[in-house]
Amino acid sequence: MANDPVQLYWIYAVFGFLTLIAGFYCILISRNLLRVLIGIEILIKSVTFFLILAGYIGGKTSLAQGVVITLIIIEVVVIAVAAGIVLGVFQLNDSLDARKLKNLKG
Amino acid sequence: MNSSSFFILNIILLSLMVGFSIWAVITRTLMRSALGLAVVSVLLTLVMFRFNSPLAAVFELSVCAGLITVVFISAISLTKPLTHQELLVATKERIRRYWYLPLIVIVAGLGLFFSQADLGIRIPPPVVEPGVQEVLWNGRPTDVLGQIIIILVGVFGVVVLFKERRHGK
Repeated sequence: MANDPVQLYWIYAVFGFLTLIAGFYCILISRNLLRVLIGIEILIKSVTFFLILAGYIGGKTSLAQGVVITLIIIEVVVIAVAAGIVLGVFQLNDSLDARKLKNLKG
Repeated sequence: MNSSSFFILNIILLSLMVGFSIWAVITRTLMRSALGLAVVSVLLTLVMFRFNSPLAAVFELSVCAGLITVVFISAISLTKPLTHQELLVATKERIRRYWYLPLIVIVAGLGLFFSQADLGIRIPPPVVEPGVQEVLWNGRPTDVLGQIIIILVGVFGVVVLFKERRHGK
């Protein structure tokens, strides 16, 4: 076990970075629009974890919780609207594949 | 609970969180991805509880693990599943595109773990802080106003989207 508190928090932060990598990879590689949304969700989970960790380290968990509650509300609205847009795209193209979205191509 | 078992349990929870994140990304069906995401939310909730953030943890559990999972499952059920033949082709393609992720995560994890980058973290002295309610209502009223506006914008957006779709039919 790490004895130095800063080293300890760094180990926690590494897991946050790994979740961030998983989210970025999902967004970059996926062609399915719903899976891209899942990637965004994973990214937001990582950011939430970093905020909570920062609040815990700084001894300001109340402030961190306030910010996280705001983040969660933004997250829900973004996902609800994005899911609606994805369903609209599916009804137009009969597919969730991002490569088939050519209607806006210049 | 002593600090050693606190640390070990946190590491186990965080490892599971990363593991389920990867599983949500690389798994074959969208339904499994959505369920993997819900498990990530539950694990993050447990981590939040352990890091003295119970109110945010309750929000995370009810909204992210509950509501967002329902939104995803509803969206998935409204779309057309792949046929068996398409699924076989997609699986081969998925393996080719996604097998890098566990590798990247392991390499990045080891690299970050041993790098011990100095982020300038200085642990401040403990302070007596006000409760969440006080911080949210008295300290950050603009955030609350922003939340209300965002919710209204979201409702408006969903109404417009579904209204247009009805007209489109």
